[in-house]
Amino acid sequence: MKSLLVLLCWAIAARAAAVDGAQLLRKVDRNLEPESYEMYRKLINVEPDGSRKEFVLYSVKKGHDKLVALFLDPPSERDRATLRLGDNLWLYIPNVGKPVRITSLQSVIGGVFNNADILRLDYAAEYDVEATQEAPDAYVLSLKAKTAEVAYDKLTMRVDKKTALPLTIECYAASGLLIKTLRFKDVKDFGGGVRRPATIETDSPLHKGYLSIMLYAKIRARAMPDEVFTLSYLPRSKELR
Amino acid sequence: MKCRAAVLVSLLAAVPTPGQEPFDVSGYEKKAFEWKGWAELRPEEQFLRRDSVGYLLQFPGETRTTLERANAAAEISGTLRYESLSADFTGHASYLRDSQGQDGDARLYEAYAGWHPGSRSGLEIGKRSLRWGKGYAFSPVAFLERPKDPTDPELSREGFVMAVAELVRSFGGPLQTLALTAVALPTTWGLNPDFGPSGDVDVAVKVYGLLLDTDVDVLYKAPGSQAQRFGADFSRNLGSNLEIHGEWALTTDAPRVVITEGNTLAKELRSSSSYLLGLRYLTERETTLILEYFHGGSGYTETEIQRFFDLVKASANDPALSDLVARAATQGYNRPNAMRNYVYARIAQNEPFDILYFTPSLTAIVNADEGSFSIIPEVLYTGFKSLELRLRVAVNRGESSTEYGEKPVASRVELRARYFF
Repeated sequence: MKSLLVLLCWAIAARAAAVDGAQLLRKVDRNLEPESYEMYRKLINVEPDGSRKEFVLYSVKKGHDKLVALFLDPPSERDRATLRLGDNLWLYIPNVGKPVRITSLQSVIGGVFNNADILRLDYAAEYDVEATQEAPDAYVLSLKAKTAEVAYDKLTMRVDKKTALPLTIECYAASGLLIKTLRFKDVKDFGGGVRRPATIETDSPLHKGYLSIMLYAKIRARAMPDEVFTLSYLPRSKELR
Repeated sequence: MKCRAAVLVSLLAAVPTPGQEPFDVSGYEKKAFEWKGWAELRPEEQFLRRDSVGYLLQFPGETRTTLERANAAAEISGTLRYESLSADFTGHASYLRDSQGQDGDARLYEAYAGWHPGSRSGLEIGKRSLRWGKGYAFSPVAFLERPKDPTDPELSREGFVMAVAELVRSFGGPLQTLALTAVALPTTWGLNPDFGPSGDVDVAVKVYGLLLDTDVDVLYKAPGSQAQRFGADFSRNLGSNLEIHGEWALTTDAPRVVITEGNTLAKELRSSSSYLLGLRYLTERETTLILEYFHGGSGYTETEIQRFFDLVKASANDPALSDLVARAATQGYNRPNAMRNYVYARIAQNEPFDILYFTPSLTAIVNADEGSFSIIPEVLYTGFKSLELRLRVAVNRGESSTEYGEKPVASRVELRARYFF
């Protein structure tokens, strides 16, 4: 009986080891979005008293480190745009009239969303896989940030075995403190081979009673010239839609 | 009873929970014409300093100690597109009413046509607001702009009529971006009368590079209606929470108005350099610190500004000096931050005590030559969908014959309610 148990454990461990965590993470990235894409997102902050504030964003991304996010709503944020080139980050506010370089941890809007939520690059670009474990219906990836520039030091990502899409992601600070949990819901076919969760709900033990929801629409592959991801183009990023 | 319960259940089921409602993006897609705007009301109470030079200039012969003001303003901007062509405008209107009277103004801040055949090049002609430089409160390399108000640097400003051409290229390797901007700003045909003397075309060039993760600009403005200028600036992140920036500008043979020892107004030509060093630092508790040191080479020295203060005080008893005082004030002495060395500091706390969309901040502008200062505590709330509320107090302090000690307003309280649409 004992040897049977050892054999079983060995078989499970061998199967888990057979899963290449880094390869799986790259697959998760590609299943979530094409490498170069455009998409619309609605961010909803719900407060404990039920009041809510919504933001609508249009984003374009190219390759592994170029991203522009443009605010379309509410009116007070309209045409505010952010450019990310690797660890370089700029914020364009229409009234100010010029892009201003900001630190990568500077929040571009108020509320519980931070830059990691709004300006996320591929997970594989920002994280290394430290360990891969296997549960009955999911793989569990333990991810470690490649640099201190990344907002969350460690992630625990549960990946659905059948679809290779994330189910939940727990985000931890370097101290080991759980900062927030992302729950991926409502898998939907966006066309063009993109089938992924259309809703991400976020809650945080640090903000009890608060809920953040991100809705996705019109995710599609799009090729763009590199010059779209420059300070010169940033004030005109609304023309990309 | 059963029926009522069923109705209640169906009503509750019909109310979408957050995130369940459909996300329709058709309203956010690009249209041939798009516009946006805001309108604001800004009541203000000023507490005046009767024995100050500024009071003598602004309220001659009066005895009031307070001034209530009602300000209103609105701004509308829009874009009209047709293929690679576009037309942009920003209109600004303001109204001011106080016990001295009322005043209104409406003008176009921007109105220009653009042609952008692709993402690598563009041409724009018309009234345009350029924004050059990396400084937050000051910008020595802002060669073709109206001056920024350091107490409120994010206010929109009126542009000048100009033609702007731009070429951009991206690369792999240490030089990621290279951009060339060329500008022609005419003062002929009655254009741009408030830029400088008429009859010239001021040409300027800016070369921008993103080099080794550092923003670098090299700038040049040829002599024209305003003096020749050279400039450079940079900005770089030194970590995930620290950004540094700097600017340097050299102006050659620029006219400068000074009051002579014999109490006359003289125009001298002089070359001077101005520079700025600054940083933006974010703490773990999401406190943002912006710190800048500014040296304006063409600013007035303590002796020069003292002469102006003495002249204003003398004019209170000698009306014959009033014309000289008025000319000195408008030609340089009464401009904001007219002296040489300033320190700007702003500390803002993002959402303290878990109050979402709430940002208290404290801004200080210190005249580093003589120690007078202005302190501006402020609270901002952006939690409403389209309404932004800002309450700010400004306190000017300094000894007699110092810049902020001679401001007419000792302190001021204002509430700004801005509605966006």
